[in-house]
This record gives sequence, structure tokens and C-alpha cells, in this order.
Amino acid sequence: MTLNPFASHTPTTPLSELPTGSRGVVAGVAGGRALAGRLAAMGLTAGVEIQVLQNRGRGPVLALVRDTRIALGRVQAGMVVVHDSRIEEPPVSVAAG
Amino acid sequence: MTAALKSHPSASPLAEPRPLVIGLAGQPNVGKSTVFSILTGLSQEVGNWPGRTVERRTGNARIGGRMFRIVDLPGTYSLTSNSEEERIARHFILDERPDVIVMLADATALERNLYLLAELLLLPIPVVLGVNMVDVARREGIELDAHVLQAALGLPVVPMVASRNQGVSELLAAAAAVADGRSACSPARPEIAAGHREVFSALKDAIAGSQPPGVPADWVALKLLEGDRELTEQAQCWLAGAGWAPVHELLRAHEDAVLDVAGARYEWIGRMVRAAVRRPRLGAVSLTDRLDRVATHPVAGLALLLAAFGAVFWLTFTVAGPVQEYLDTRVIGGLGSRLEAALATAPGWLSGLLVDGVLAGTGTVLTFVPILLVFFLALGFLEDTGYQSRMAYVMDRFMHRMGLHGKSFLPLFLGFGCNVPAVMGSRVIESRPARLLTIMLVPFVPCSARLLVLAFIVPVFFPAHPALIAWGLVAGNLLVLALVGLAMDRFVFGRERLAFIMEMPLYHVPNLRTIGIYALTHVWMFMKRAATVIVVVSVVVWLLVSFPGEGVDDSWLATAGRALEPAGALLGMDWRLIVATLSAFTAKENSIATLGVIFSADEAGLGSVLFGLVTPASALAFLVVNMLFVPCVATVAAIRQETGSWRWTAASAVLMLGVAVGAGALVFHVARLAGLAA
Repeated sequence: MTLNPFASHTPTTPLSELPTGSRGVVAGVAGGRALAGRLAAMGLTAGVEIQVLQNRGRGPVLALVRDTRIALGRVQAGMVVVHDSRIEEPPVSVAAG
Repeated sequence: MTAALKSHPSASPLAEPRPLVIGLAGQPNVGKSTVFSILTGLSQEVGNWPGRTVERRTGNARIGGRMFRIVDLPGTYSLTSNSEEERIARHFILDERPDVIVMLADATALERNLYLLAELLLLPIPVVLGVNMVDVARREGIELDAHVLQAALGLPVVPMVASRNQGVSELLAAAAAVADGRSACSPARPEIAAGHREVFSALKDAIAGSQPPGVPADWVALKLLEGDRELTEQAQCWLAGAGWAPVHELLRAHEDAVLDVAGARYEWIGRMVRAAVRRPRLGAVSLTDRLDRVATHPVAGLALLLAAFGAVFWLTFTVAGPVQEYLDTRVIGGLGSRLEAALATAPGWLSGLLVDGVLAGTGTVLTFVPILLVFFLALGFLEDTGYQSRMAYVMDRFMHRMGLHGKSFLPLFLGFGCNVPAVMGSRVIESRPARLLTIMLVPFVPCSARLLVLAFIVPVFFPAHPALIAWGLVAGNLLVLALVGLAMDRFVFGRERLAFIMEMPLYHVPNLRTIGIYALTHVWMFMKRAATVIVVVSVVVWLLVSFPGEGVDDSWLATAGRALEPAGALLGMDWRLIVATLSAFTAKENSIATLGVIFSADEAGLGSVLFGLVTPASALAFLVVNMLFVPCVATVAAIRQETGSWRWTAASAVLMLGVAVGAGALVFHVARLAGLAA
């Protein structure tokens, strides 16, 4: 796992561009350690499954992760990067480090 | 982590055993205030954490003949120094050393909640876990086996439904048992991921011994790896000079560790709950998601929000309004005339001081009580049901244009009723810069008292289009608010605090006891802290109005008004309008009463007298200045209380003054050009 989520091998999409109802696996969080740390404490870490509950193209994004509904400002939602693959695969383990 | 370890409590030879000190920890929205109010009732004391602006609530409980002292820690998701709340929570644990930490978790999002537990277990205080809302979880299809979780974690686990007072006393009993050593607490602890094990132990060795006693080296090493700002600064001091360089090198080489540390914690949590939690029903749409389809909808959500606010204001005006009126005229007025009669033989100044100074000031404090109570009951209700965060979500898009985010909406909107609860309501915003910006903006919202002045003056001067002019003034006022917000955001605060991240909790059936205690403690806090300021200012204003001469027009205030006339000329305001504006400091609606005294007219006749003596342009400038001028004394007192700083309070007053004079001058000259000065 690296700090730069864009460096992963599979193609990724920012959370802010995923439509309502879509699911994916978080690849990482850009935008610095403070944001990553805050989101991690709320359950949003790399490797976790995320579901977009509401994304209307503008305004905040509502996502469900680890049974927690998190509202993210548009900018913050753009920092959360999600793996593109829609194929059901087991979540990538992060702890393997 | 500055204080040294305290002497061991059992060494004190007290006859009555010392109360057990319990730190109540938990993430936001886990029902912590409900548990706290069940345990402590009205014995709770609300203050601030030393040197901070975050509320500190403590209270006592006596259960089974044993005394407990319970300290409610701020709700935090983790213990990294990202926010003031998180720093407060960990300083309390390390410096004040409670006997036990009771951590509450939400059964409907157990894994995320245990993240805080993973952090707490690194600190040298035993932990007892209360898993709240097991009933809600069951409805969501989540079954928890507390015994299995207890065995996995190695610490007492108590399932609870706090809103129905189930499990609360069991939780306290478990805490007491751990404190007495009757119950085992040898918890499993998360380990660092294999990839960073080496650097972790290298860091630990480099630090060991240099940190203050009672601060575990493990914890310091881990926090350094997480990039914790506060601890990085402190470690630099502990290791002064040569010791820091190798640590700094290690940290630089492992900047990515933060993600691993968080990942490892969740991996550990996953192992802990695997056997204890069963969730057979997956993919069912919960009640919360169904309600959210309306509540977070851009159109329907907005309509719902306006309806909710309509209800709050309706309640305020139909319930609090008449009570306020009664308190003002009957209670305070009655006391005043009785006091006047009793002091008939005393010198005139004494009766004036007591009746028009002290009693009037006390009356101001007292008449705020019904409004504040209704507001805080409504606010507590919105918060306890979980709807409050939906309001912030719906409004986020609009607030962004002003450099604020959704959470600032609620306090600003409350300002239309009264600025005082609005300033106090800014507590819902967790980051201090955003909270400060909101507090600075609240006085720009025209409160009901200012709208009253508007409603009185506008029809006198603009009989043709009163509604249009009034709406124009209010809209102009809000435009000023937006511009000031933009400017302050840009030049004072920078834009970093814009990060809008908010949990949207599940909807709950509100707990009336929690809401009642929430409202009562907030009202009491305002009375306790603001009362002195308001009474003192009221006495000072009385002095300025009553001396040295007999009437208002021969007073120090009038002298000040005349001295300010050159400045007032800019706004087309003569000394009488200036004095009326100055006297509005105690309460905004005072300006009308003062005008009545100066022009010696009763309220009914004042209109025609004013119309004969004041030009429409001046009247317009007067209104603009009165809507934007320094907020009333109660609001200033609330700003002082909430910012914890006289400098910010003064800054707010200066800002309002500058904007009021600028906007007033602008309006006056534009109106004069438009031919309204005749």
C-alpha cells in the first residue's frame, strides 16, 4: 500500500464520479494524512467495500461503509478513490503491508 | 502528557471511600448523553475543559451505596490529535488518570466503533465496553453475542438499550468490579502490521525512557507513525537535539505507515467480532434509508427542513412569546413598581439604580429563559432523533457558496429568532475555525427584535411600499452576511476547514429525558455566565442615560451622541438617532423606546413626530445601522462564552460597527441621490 492511490494497478475512479447505488472497493484516500486519518477513524479505509447512497452530480455525496453513513463534501468525495472492477472479489487485505 | 503520574489513590486514608472516577468515552452518536443523564441526572456540572472551549460535563452517581464521579469525554472517532476534542480526551486519560474508562459503542456499527477501543487499549487505564442500541441492531438484522465478544476482547462487555435504561447499572457495576480488581481486564491488543514491525520497535527503543512517566512508549511510537502532530512536537522536546534526528529519519522513511496502522486496527477488529456478530439478513433496505430518500432529497428535503424550522418558530412565538411577555410586564414590571413604592422615601438615584438598572438587567436575563428553553428543547429533539445531520447535508451545497459548510446552517437560521441560542448552537460545528466564522456571522442575521424595529419604522417613512422596503433591507442584510462570510473565509481563516465530513446516524425515537436535561443545562449555563455581564452593562447604560442631568437629552449618552454627530453626519443621523442606536445595546427593541423618550412621544404618536423631523434617507440609514450595529449585550455575552476569548468578542463588535457604518453611509448617500433626503 502506498500513499498515492493512483499508483495501484487496477484503474480507479473518484467516489464523486460514481453514480447512486454503485458499489466498489476503496483503493485509497488522497489529499494528505489528516484527511486519510479522519476517514479511517470513521471506517473508510483502503480495502473496504463502499456503497454510494446518494450522488446527484453536485453537492455532497452520501456513502455507506462499515454500516456507517458518511456524508462527504464534493471535494472530499473526490479524494476517495475506488477500484473500478465491478466483479465480486474478496476485499484486498491491507494488513498484509 | 505533561503531568506526572499521580500518587496511587488507595494510599489515602479516607474514612469514606473516594468516589470512583470514570471517564465516559465513545464515538459521536452512540447515546453517550443518554447514558450520562441517566447516571447523573441534574447533578451534572457543565463547564469548559481548562483553557478550551469544549464543554466538560461531570456528574455524580450513587449506585449500591457506592459513589461514582463520571466525566463525560467529548465524542471522538479516534484519539489522534486532529481535533481539539481528541486532544482533550487523551489528555484527560493520561493526565487525570480515571480509575476506569467506560466506552460506549453503537451495536449497529460495531466495527467502526471498536476503532476507538483499539486506540484506548494502548493507554494504561482499564476499559469496560458498553454496547448500546442492541435493539436497533436487532431490527437491522444484526445479532450480537456479548459473551463471545467479551471472551475475544478480554474485557467486560455489557449489552445495553440506554434509551430504555437497560444495562446502565450493569455497566457501572462492571466498571466498579474492574476498578476493584474483582474482574479481569487483560485485553487483547491490536498489533502493528508485519511490514512496519521493525520500524515500530526501532522507534520504541529510540523513545524509551525519554517520555514522561505514565505515557507508554508503544503508544508514542504508534502515534508518531500515524503522523500525530501534537506528539511529534512533544517528542522533539523529549528527545532534545541529537536524539530526534534518527527518529525523524525513521518517520520520513515510513510516511505511508498511517494507512497500515488504521488497516491493522480494522483487521484486528474483524477478528474480534467475527464469532460474536451474526448478520443473516443482508441487503435489506433499512428504515433510515427509506426516510433519507425524503430527508436528503434536494427538493423534498429542503421542504421538510423549512417545515421543521417553521414548527420551531411557531413554538417559540406561541409558547415562549406570551411567557416572555408575562415575565416582562407582570413579574419584572410588578416587582419594579413595588420596589419603587418601597423606595419612595429613598433618594431618587437609588430607586433608579435598583429599578431601571439592576432589576431591568435581571429582567433581560429572565425574559431570555422561555425563548432559550424552547429553542434548546427543539434543538435537542432535532439532534436526538438524528435529523439534525440531514439538515446540514441538505444545506451543504448552499452554505458552500458562503465559505461555510452544512453544519453552520442550523445556528445561522436560529439567529432569525434570537442571536443568543444561535451563537450557543454553533457548538455543533466541530472545527474551531469554522465555529468561529459561524459565531462571527450570527450577529449579521436580523433577529426578531430587530425585525420588530424594522416593522415599526418602515411603514412610517415608506407607506407606499412597506413590505418591499422591509424585504429589501432584510435581503441586503443577508447579502452583507454572505459578503462578510466570503471575505473572512478568504482572508482570515484560509479555506482548509471547508472539509465537510459528517456521519449520518440512524434515526432514533427521541429520549425525552435526554432532551429535557440538555435544554435545562444549556439554559442554566447561559444564566450563570451571561447574567453578570448583562446586569453590569444594564447598570452602566442606566448611569449613562440618567446622569448628570434629569432627562435623556441632558445625559452623558446624549453628550456622547452629540460628540459623534460629525461621524453621524456621514449617515445623515443626528444625535438623537445616534443615542437611540447606542441605547439599543441592552436590547435591540430599546431603540424605539429611547426615540420615544427623546422625542417625548408615546409609541402611537412617535411615528408622525419622526416623519416630521427625520428624512426618509436618514431613516433608511438608521435602520441599516440598527440591523448591523454591535449585537445586543446578551449576544455579546454569549459570544464571549462560546469563543472563550475577549479578543474575538471585541473583533466581532468592531466588525459589526465597521460594516454598519459603511453600509449605513452607502445607503444614505444612495438614498439622497435618489431624492429621499427632502
